[in-house]
Amino acid sequence: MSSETASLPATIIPAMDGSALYVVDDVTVKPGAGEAFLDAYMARYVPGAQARGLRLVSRLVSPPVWLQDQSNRLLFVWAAAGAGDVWASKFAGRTDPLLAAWWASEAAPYIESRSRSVFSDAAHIGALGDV
Amino acid sequence: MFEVLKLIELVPELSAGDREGFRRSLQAATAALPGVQRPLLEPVSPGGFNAGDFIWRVAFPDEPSARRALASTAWQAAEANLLGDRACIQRLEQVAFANGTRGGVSPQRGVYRVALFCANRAPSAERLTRFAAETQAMPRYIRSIRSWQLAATCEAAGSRPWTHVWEQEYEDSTGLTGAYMMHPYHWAHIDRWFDPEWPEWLVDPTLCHAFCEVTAPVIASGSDAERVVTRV
Repeated sequence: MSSETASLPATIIPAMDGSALYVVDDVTVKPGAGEAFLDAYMARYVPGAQARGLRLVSRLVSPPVWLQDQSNRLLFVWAAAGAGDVWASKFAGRTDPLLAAWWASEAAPYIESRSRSVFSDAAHIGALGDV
Repeated sequence: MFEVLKLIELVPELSAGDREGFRRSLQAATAALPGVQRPLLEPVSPGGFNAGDFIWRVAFPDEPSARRALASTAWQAAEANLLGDRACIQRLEQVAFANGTRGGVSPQRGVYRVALFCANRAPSAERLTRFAAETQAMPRYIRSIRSWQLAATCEAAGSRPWTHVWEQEYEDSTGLTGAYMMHPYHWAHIDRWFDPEWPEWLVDPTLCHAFCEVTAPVIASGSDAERVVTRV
């Protein structure tokens, strides 16, 4: 299924609960590579991340048009129920050579720059640090 | 201060009696090292990885005194007989380090933890400096860390050419397995240096994490600790 025609892929589960943590991939792709990267990410990365326990809750594209000679920015927002789930996903992937190869070899040709961050709702900061 | 640390893994087939004999012999040889300070030889607690069976650690006032002690005839013989015995030793992870950055005050008893890292992924000077600064800031946020030291190695051997030694002391094991592991500064911030999925990835996934119960200060104590306190 092309990402262009997909209204809501089955892999995306809407956020509707109190998930405390969000792991966000913020990717600026090379000019014209936005849609191809989205397809590759959905096909090659998403199933593994879901198997490691994360839930894809949104995939945002800016600007909301596939640019041909300029760069799109894509945000992939993953949800985890808590610190234990974040650690579990990390440990599951840390020694997986295929995961490192995804970022280093498969995804790299599409990417101009990227960052990853972990967010929580501001209201949860006190509780998260009270350990 | 010049410090030497070994994580010692014995061959699995060694009997309980032989293990105890090994420990006693190494303990006696360590105590006899001229000028040794705060010698430590303790069995590791469950829950580490690449931890081995024993943590061995010694400190000396400076590198020359360490070199003299470790070159002494008595220690050379003991090291060859105990740590050089391939029928007894399964694996050794070894580091020496001097003048690490440290802070806090060691509890009189509690839990000592050491991690050995190999920062081998694009280790530019800028990245290493930032990694060290952020690691040294952990005790400002994770209050269960009573004392700590981060040091670059000057010698290393074992599974990896270890580049960093990261030590902490806690009042008890929950300070390590609870607060240290579960604080967001750890899993949402400092861990990006360790995670192959993050652009900042710096540290080889193979690392050592070992801890043990202790009945005396290990990293710092008394006036020498107070001089280097950086907690806020």
